[in-house]
Amino acid sequence: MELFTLCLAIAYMVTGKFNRDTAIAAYQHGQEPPGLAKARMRHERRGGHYNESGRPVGPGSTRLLLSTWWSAACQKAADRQHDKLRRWRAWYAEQAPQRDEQWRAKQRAKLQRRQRRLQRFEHARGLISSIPERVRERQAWAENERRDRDREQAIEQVHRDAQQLRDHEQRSRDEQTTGPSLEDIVQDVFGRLERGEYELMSLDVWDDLPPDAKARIRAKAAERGARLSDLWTGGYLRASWPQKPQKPVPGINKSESETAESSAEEPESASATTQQSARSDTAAAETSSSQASGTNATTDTEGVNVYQQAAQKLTKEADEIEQYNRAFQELADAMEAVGWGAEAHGPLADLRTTFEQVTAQYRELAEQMRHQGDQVNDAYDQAPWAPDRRVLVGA
Amino acid sequence: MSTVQSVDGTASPEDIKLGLENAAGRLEEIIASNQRLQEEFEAHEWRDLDTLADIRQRLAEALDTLHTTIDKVGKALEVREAYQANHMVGDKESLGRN
Repeated sequence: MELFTLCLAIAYMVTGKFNRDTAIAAYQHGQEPPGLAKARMRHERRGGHYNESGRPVGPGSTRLLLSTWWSAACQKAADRQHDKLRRWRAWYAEQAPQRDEQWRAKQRAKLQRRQRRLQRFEHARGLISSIPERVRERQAWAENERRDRDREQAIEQVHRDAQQLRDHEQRSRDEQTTGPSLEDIVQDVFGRLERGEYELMSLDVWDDLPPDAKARIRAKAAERGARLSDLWTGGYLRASWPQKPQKPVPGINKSESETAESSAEEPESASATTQQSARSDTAAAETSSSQASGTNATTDTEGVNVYQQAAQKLTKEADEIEQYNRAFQELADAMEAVGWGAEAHGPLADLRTTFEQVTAQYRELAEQMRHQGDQVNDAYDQAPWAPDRRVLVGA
Repeated sequence: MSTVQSVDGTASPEDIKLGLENAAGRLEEIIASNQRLQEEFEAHEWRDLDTLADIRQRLAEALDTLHTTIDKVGKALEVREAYQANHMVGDKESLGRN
């Protein structure tokens, strides 16, 4: 029996353990020696399992057990050698100053030989691997390709932007010739302000109006005793009417969220035109037709994934907080300028850091989301046949 | 154009109070939208969203600060009432304060 076990052990070692090429080729992740990985796989494939104390039982368990012992022994040996090498180096560092150059050269050569020997030992037993270097190289190649792709995309984006700008200019020219008259615009916007539809009016829309129209609207508002004021938050225009009933909050939120949505989905100039388009049917028809022809804007929003949308939302949130912070600091500065004490405006100025950090956190989170989504997406690119997450990692 | 112009030192206390209240309202919206985002992401079964909760916490603290400042501004308005009710008083310095 003993003889049989011995033969078995020798055969086991000879057929796998000292075969360096097999070991290196099979070694993939630097996690454990390949022999052990192989034994574990065989054990699992053949339906083996573990008992309460963690010992493998069932078919393939002996091999796995032996393999575990062997790799532990190898690891221990390597550790011992490392330790010895470390002590040797310390001894060399201690002795070197008192010795001549010839002695030092000899000892250095010895140390190097010892180090190489240790590396060979570890390599042969799968304790270290050259795989990580190869992985790094592959990643570097992938990174280069990604940068090339980004550059191409950036160039494409520039072309697209230029095209959109041209479209927009064309559209505004068309509007000037065939669009609604100044009087129509004034009537329409003023009507909306009066009805409270624009109680919080995006300044994008306001800035987009012709200067004459702005002056006329202000004059008309003044006639009716209303005050048009830029809210300090910077993005909106508020019309305060004398004895005007309080608008319900949902209305305000609605107009604001509409603005936010449109500005998120489209470039700024386009968002302004979308808002404008409400002014007259002809303008609306023009805008929608031009949107249909401008394919880029629509395909971009439709094509993005959930994680890209999420990252976009976070970025938008960060932008909003940034804008908020700017306006907020203006307010703090205003308080300081009129002579409020530091107890009042100081804490507000201190919030600048908080808001900046929050913005940074949002941006970082967005970047993480993009990165994580890309990672899994890339993995799916390599294996589109892989099933859903539930199947792969459980609920 | 209430407080955008006021950096030149013309902001009235009402403007500032209004500005601060608007700021608080807007900040509440920001916090609510943070909450919405977190719920949305959790609906996708995403995990490790502690950063969002952390941000919400910080924004809530900022909101507290803002409310404290609003209270302080409110107190300052009481000083104005005191000025208005008492006419034999000069500037702040003459009261021995600066």
